[in-house]
Amino acid sequence: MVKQPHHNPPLTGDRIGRRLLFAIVLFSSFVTLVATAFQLFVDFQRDVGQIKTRLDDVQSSYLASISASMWNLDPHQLKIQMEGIRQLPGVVAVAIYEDPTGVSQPLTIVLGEFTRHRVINRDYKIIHHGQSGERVIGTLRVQASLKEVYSRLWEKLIVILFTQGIKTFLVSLFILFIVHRLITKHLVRIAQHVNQFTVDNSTSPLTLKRTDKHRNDELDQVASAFNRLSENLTQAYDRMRQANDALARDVLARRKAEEEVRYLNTILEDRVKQRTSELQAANEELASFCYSVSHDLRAPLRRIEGFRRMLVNDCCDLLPEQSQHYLGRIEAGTREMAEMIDSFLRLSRATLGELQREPIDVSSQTRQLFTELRERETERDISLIIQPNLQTLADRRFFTMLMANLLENAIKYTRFKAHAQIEVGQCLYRGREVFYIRDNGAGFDMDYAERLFAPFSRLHKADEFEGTGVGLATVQRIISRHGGQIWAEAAPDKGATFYFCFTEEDKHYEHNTTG
Amino acid sequence: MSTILLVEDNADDAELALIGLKHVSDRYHIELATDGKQALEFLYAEGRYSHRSGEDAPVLVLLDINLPNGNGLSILQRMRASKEYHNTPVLILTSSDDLIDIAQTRQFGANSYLQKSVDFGHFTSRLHQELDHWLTRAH
Repeated sequence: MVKQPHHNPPLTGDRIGRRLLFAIVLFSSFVTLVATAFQLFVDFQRDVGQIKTRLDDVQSSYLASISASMWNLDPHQLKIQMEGIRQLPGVVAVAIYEDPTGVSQPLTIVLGEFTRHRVINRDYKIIHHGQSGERVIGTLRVQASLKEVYSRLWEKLIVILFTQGIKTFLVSLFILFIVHRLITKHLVRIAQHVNQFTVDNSTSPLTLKRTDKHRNDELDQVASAFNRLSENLTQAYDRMRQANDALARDVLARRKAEEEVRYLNTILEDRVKQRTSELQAANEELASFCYSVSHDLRAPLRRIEGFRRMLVNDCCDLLPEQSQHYLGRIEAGTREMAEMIDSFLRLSRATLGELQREPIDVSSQTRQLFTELRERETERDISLIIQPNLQTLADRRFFTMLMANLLENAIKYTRFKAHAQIEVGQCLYRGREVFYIRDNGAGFDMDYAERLFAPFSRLHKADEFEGTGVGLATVQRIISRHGGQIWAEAAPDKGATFYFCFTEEDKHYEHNTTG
Repeated sequence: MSTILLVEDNADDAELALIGLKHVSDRYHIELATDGKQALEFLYAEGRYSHRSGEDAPVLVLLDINLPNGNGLSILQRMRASKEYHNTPVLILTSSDDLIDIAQTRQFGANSYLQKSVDFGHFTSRLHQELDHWLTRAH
């Protein structure tokens, strides 16, 4: 990520400098003003003091002679004396007023013009020291003008302000220059550097163009702090980028792996599908082969048995005992083979054909099948208990085949019981609703339960219970074609129970919850 | 003497069937046809049987399904379509014990079926039962 440097307005000395200048000028002017005012005040006081001292001197220097002149009524002398006073620095007007008591025409002499503004007036009592004591004979009025004092003050003020103004200006310029040289220039450089700084680009470290290399002031500290910061930032960025790259590589690798897995999965799925269909096809082919072979085998077998029987009918009595025995063996052999062929046919039929589920009344179907099978062994005492209203969804043909097989089994293995009892119903087995068919027959050892449903495997001796070992294999085939399960529980001589259902476990639960 | 037509291509099976039919052979003439064509010729007095008298028309037919020159079911179909054999009892001889095959023959109008069981005793006794049943009805 390359960050473009910001184009901020360039940081110049103007801003800080101007503000600094303004502050300096303001403060300096204020100080100057205060100082000037103080100085002027002091000067004013001093000047006024001088004038007052001079006026005080008038009392001691002139008043005695004026009193004498006045007592003598010598206006000329008085004028000379008054003129002397008027010559004093600052004095602008002098006047003498004779005390009017007892005088018809009091003497008044005025030298200069009396004004009202910026003046100091002083009245002196002209006292005559006679034999009858002191007597006030007139008043001397002296007016000193402050005009000069004020004009001096003005001049001074102007000079001070002018010089102070120039000084302030120069000092400010100097400070401005110093600030620019010492700080602003570097600040601008720092700002430019910071603006150009990008973490992913190895920009050169920030250096300040300074003449004195050895000092380590705040600016250098700022620069080195910034350099440390940028270095850390660059390092952190590098680490982050490395981590990012690693992460990106990881993600890429994972995505690749996932794609690979997906690809392999599809291949696998395709392969499984292909194999399954191949297997299914092979299975069906085998079953159909088995079916036609079995079917075709039956015809010659039937002829053998037919002609054997004719032989027995025609000339059994004429044959020696040994030959009769042979004929018996032929009969047994053909019967065995016929049974085998029949069971082969049933087994292959359980594999062939479409599965068409429909609702089946298990109870009545079972009852009907039992009645048919029962006819073969009318002399036996067999009772069947069927739970009423049992229902399921299954292929009717296959269900009939399955139930017939299971009932035949139950009838067969209860052969040696005085009272055979078969029970068909539905129960809950580990949370599943399953059908069961229970008999009180010979049962079997649970150790061999695994072999129970394998084709051609038998748990009983052939001379005890005849059979080909295909019946339960057929049953299992039918159940598995429905996606269901079958298993058995038994003990020798304690009877056997077969549990079965026509649906997959999860479908069954689904059905339970929705139903 | 009334006639029973046996349609069976296999000589051995035919012989065994004839043995089974001995039970009625004193009362019925048994005519054997070994393929579909022959069976139809006899039934409708055509070809080599064109001189067959009307009295020899079979009162019962034992019909095998798998035949050369014409399948058993098509013979059955034709018989049921024709006036003279519309109600004649036809027993199907089959080596199949498939309920679907059996149901199919019923649809085509077979009266019953006889499974060619390996147990010959069982076969003959079933044959006798069927013959007794259908022949008494035929009269």
